[in-house]
Amino acid sequence: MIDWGFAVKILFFGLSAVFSSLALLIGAIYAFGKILKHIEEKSN
Amino acid sequence: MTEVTAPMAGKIMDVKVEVGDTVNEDDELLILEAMKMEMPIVATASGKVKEIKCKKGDAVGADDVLVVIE
Amino acid sequence: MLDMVLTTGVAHLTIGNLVMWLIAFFFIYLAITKNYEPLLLVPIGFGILMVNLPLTYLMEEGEGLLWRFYHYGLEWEIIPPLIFLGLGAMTDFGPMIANPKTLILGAGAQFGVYVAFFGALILGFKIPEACSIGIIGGADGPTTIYTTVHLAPHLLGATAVAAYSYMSLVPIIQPPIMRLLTTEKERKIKMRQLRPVSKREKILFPLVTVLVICLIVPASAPLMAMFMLGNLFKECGVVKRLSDAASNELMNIVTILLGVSVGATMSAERFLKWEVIFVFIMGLVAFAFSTAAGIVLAKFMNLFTKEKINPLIGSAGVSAVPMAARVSQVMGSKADPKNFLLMHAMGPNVAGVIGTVVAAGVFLALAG
Repeated sequence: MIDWGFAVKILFFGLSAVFSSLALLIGAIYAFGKILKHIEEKSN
Repeated sequence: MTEVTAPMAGKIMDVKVEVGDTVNEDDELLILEAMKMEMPIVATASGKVKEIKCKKGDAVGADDVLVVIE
Repeated sequence: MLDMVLTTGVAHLTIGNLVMWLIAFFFIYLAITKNYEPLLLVPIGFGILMVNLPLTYLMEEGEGLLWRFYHYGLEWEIIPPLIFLGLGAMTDFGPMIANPKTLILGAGAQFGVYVAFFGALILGFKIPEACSIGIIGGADGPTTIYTTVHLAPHLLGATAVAAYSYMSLVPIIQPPIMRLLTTEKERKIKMRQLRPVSKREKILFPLVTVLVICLIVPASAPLMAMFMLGNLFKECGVVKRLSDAASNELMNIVTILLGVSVGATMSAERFLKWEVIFVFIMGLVAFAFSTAAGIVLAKFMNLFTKEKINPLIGSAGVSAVPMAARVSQVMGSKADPKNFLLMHAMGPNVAGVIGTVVAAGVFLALAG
């Protein structure tokens, strides 16, 4: 018998992990882009 | 006067026009190769080809001016 | 006399073996004449042939040659992460760093994974099997293999072949869906040239990514760590030899072992089953839904953003690098020859690989 509750849990966990990790990555890219820009401006 | 620029870095595979040719908008000017894909570069305006700034085999960068149309 | 005949393979051939030979020849034919994923289909096809020769015991547990490849390469999880090392050394994340929004599209295109997951459950597959079938929708060969070996090794041949064959069919599967879901006007949307990405950004990217992703989904670490290590080799510029080795020699070696091992799991008694057909059907469903979800998500994002994205790049969120990005380029230039989407589509394309690895990590953590 298939445990549908577990299946839904996998769906929920999966989608939220995919979106949250990639969203965090977007944030990280913007953040280190900003920091690098800042450092480069200072060194100029 | 219109400048046709490279949409991305790549290699010029073929130049299909010569200086003095009359071209219409959307005519093929060059073939650019990037990521193993050949893409035609078309005229962005109608007119006469005034200058061709690249030749077959050249590696070009994004935004480089390739052809000037008058 | 009879004893002698019985020591030959001929006497032990089954109809199933012959059917598998035909499948093997078909794969080799597709690879050679149609150029469909030849680097994989040639060794897979030959592996199928070898394992369907009676009395050779090539897949005999503990002694067969192909069994050793399979056991130490795939079951020990060595080959797929090494492939990812090579992929990392070949992947340019520049277009994605220049336009990080496209990462969302790579996440959206994992939707098909879950559609196929539920589809497989409805067809009667168990949860671990459904996970392996769903992950085909991510369109990433090594991730599919990695997941299936863990969760449903008896389906390995089917899921691996489905993933690779649908990847090579991307230029046929995707365009009708893309046309259906976009208007002429949307396909003509021009995107601004991507900004140049500095070397420092490219070096920082693999370091930051491995931290972020592995902290959230630790089970994705083997693939993710190798992927980003390869990328660091490429971008740091001081270990060209390692980067070359990872993307050329090592990649080629593990590709041979991978292909042969996958082929070797496709013996007649394991492969000729109805469930294999269902795997292929669900794989196609997964692919189609992933394509559609990427496009729909791109259109949805356009409702909120000032700078519109061409929805054709959404479909590139299925990982198949770079085939899916090429399809976006072709569709875009058909709508307007001045439209260049290739580089823009590479963003969701490489993001899709990361998204699929995360999805696989969750499957492994929960269903493993």
